[in-house]
Amino acid sequence: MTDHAPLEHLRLQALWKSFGDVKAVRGIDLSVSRGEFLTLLGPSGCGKTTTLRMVAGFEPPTSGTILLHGKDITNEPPNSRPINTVFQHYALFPHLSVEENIAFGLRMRGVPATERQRQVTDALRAVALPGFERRHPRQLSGGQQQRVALARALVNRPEILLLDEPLGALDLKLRRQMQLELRALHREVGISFLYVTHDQEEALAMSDRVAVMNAGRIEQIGSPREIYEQPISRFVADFIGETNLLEGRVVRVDGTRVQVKLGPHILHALGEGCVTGTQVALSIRPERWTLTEGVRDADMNRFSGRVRESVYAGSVLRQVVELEGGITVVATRPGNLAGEPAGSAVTLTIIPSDVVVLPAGPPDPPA
Amino acid sequence: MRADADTRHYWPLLLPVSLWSLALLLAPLSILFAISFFNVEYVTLIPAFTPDNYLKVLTRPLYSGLLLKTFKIAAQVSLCCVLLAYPAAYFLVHLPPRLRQTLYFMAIVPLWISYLIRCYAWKLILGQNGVLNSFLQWIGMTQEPIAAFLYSEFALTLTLSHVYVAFVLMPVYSSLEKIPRHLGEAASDLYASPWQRLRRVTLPLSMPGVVTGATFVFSLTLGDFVAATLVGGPENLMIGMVVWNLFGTAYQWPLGAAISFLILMVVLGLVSLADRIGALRRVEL
Amino acid sequence: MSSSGTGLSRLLLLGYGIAFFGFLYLPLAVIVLFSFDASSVSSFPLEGWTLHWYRELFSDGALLGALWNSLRVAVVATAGAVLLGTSGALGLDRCRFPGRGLLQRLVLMPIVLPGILTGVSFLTFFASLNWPLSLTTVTLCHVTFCVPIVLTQVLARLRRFDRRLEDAAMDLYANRLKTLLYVTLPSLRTSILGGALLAFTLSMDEIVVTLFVTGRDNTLPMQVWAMLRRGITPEVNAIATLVLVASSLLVALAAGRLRTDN
Repeated sequence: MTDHAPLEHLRLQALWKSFGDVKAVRGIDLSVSRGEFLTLLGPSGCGKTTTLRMVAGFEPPTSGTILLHGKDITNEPPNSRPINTVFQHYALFPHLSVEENIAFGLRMRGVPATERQRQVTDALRAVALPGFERRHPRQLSGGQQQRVALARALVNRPEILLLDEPLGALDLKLRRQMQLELRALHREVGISFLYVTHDQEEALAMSDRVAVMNAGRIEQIGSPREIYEQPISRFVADFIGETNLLEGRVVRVDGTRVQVKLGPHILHALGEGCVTGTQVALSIRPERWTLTEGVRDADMNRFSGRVRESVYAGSVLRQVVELEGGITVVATRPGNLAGEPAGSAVTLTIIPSDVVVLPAGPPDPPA
Repeated sequence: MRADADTRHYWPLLLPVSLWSLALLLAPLSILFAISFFNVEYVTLIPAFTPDNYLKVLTRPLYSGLLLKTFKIAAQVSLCCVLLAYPAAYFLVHLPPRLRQTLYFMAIVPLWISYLIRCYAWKLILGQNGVLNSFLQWIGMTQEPIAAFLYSEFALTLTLSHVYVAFVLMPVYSSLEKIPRHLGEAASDLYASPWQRLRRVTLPLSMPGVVTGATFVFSLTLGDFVAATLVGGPENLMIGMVVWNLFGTAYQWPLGAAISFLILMVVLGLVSLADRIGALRRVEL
Repeated sequence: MSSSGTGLSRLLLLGYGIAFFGFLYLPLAVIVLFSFDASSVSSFPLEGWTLHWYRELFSDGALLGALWNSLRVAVVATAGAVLLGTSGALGLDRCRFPGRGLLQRLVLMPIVLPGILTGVSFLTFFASLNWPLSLTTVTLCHVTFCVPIVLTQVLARLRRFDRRLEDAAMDLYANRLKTLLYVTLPSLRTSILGGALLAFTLSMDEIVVTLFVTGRDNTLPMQVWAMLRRGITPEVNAIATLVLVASSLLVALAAGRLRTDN
């Protein structure tokens, strides 16, 4: 069940990369299963692109190994790896037509012209650009260039497709549309995708699994739901989505039920491995608060506070609420609901399973 | 529109340079053009409108032959400069940034150092009793001085290539430098060997630089007479030396003007052709 | 530097790079070497070190006179080129009108024009005006081919200049002239200086055009040319060495200026 061994495709073992004194990647262990869509997610400078470039063969790792089907490819040059890349700014050859760009890899491997022609036509159809053969990259829009870059990589039927922030240069609307198309394409071709992005929304929307990276390491790896609902560190909780991070001290542990003292309040939460008396951080998603009395339940956390500010942001209404004891939290609710005006007294409730207990630590720098 | 407002405010700044160029560039060229249709009797120019001078240049084997020979040498020199400069530019571009800047600078400094002295250096080296011959004899590789070094087409091509090589190096270097690193990586990613990457991506993308550089060298070589005088010798006359004589001791200005104008036409034609090729091949990177 | 070829091809490239620089600099080094050689014939083996040829130079009146002439020509030509080139660059950068491309091409033409063509056209021009050839005519010619040097440097800088700085100045009550004087020109300072140094070097070294339009007074390269036609003397090596050193220093200075610009 957790044993992916027979399906394991790509495996990175203890991968390190230094540039001079800078350690960009500090020990990455990762395996990608056949047909999986795995995303490396993290802020800029976290080492995700460097990791991808090592898999592609553009950067030799300082130490560690890269295995493909159990075969060590760490020292193979990029042109002999059955892996293709969709580059951040597409890197389409400006002197070649769309057709020649897509046929480039086939040509380098000596695929005969007629066969090349057929595959290029198929590839263009697959990315919904039939009839663009003779155009040059500069005559294409950003979205079209993006599709050509995809076709150019996929036409080689790589074992693994690497995508380095492929949607970064597109505007929001087009990006959303391409996210859906990429997902569909991934299902269709059945090739493993290793995807790099700093956009957490994109990572959640597209991936089978997400590896959250920070300072050259993988902080957490899991399904989008896992990393959103069950972050294991302050960094992950803060980086993925919006959250309220609160510091408190464990006052009582009863199995998985934990009570945390937060200023004048006692908060009920669910957590494992907590020790009475230790400092912890609590992560509460803004949309999980309820601004009503809710169900009368002994376990339900209930606070009274005062609305400081109420910001209408279209799809949501964002309210800043000051609780007793000077604790300020953000709560959101669907934008179509009316909000209480600033200064009104409100009651906030949250169920214990929506309070995630995290190890305390120095506050992470904002992503 | 900002451009319109700018034009209204800044046009007076264009006056001095425009007037200067008209008076001291276009006017002299026009007079040269006019004189190319004149006659000459003894030592006086007779205004006329005769194509004789042009016909003379094109029909007399002395002149047409020299024109062709000059074209041939210019083509040889351009080719040599490309062959010498391309790998050098490629070498420079692949150096670490700091070293690259310093060495690039060192490669183009000679361009600014006296052309006369660089030609002279080769005369010094290649002469009958020159540095190379005396060196070879001194170390015992030859017994007799080799006469063939100086005053040969080889000496002339070598000297001119040395003098003009930086004119190719500069544009090739800058076009190589502009190729984004990702394009090379994309080629490797798509199974190109290092050689294929050079052949299919780097070379085509740096072609505009090659064309620009080669055009420069060809044009400048066409008009040369200093190097030809110093190292080409009497057997390797270039058309420039003929022009120099016609305007000097021979006092045949109209004929000299006609030759000059033919060279000018070739140069301008080449430059605009290169511009057009460059514009066609120049791809936005 | 990832995957830029195998070890062998890198080694070949390095070897070629070294050979290329040898090709560029060895001939110049030969001149420098023989300028210190005691023998009066420049050939191997060397016969010992001497500064004799340099002492000769400083007692050569004609040569010193030619140097003085060259300096005068170069200073005036550079000043003229800076004025015309800077104003022209500003005008070309800012103005849009039909024929602008043509004008730019005309102004820049001396760069691609073989010197001999510039030379003969000026010769016929001055002759037709009955203008006697002198250092003045030489200076006029030098201005013409130095203008494009300054102009290209300044124009390149202007293309990268942030026009919003000018907007800011005018927003802060500077009029157009003050904006030009206090904001635009100061940003162009280094490229003007760099261009001026290059123009000065070019003027000091120019021979081809000068050969056609000079009168009785020689410039330095003309004097060297005359010495060369009389035959090679080690004195030529000494003056050539000094010119090499001076030119390199000027160009290095210019490059330093132009680099701080970027």
